[in-house]
Amino acid sequence: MTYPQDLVKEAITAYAIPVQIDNSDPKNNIFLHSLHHIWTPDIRIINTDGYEMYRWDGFLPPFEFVARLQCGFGLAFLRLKRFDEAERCYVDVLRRFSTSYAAPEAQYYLGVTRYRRDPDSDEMLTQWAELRSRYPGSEYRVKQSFKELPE
Amino acid sequence: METQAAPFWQNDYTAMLERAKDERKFVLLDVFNPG
Repeated sequence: MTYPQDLVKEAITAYAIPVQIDNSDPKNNIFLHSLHHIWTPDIRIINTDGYEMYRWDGFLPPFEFVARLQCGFGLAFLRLKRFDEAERCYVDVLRRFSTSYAAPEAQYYLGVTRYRRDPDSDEMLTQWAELRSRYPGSEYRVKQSFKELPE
Repeated sequence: METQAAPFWQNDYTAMLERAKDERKFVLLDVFNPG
């Protein structure tokens, strides 16, 4: 299983406080209704203002879970314009989990992160070129494909 | 006497949001089904 693994625990507690809610306990019904909860595991990264920064449903084994989680923290930091922390998360995915399903997302948003930190940088196009090369069949390749159209 | 480690998972969402503010962290929320 995923959660007992030290790799997973360390990844969670690096940036978050873990909270579990049992969807079979009727005392949680009002809260779960407010989340529009429908399926388990239902995993969300919540900012301190209560805003949902990232989410996914469904089981992932440890390798895929940590890669997905790091992408989630990356986007959470990016939304807060904490660019250096976002960059660290995405680079970590590409270094340690380059074969994960989440890796193309990390490559895509690494470019976005560096561009948003420095709009004069050519890092977005650099990272997206890398994305086309490393993950040509990914959805994130499609998301940058407008850059492949003739001018 | 052995001291017991704090549980990894917390279950008070509202209190943990407050703690997250203090620790400058996020809350990782996992809604699960024990079955």
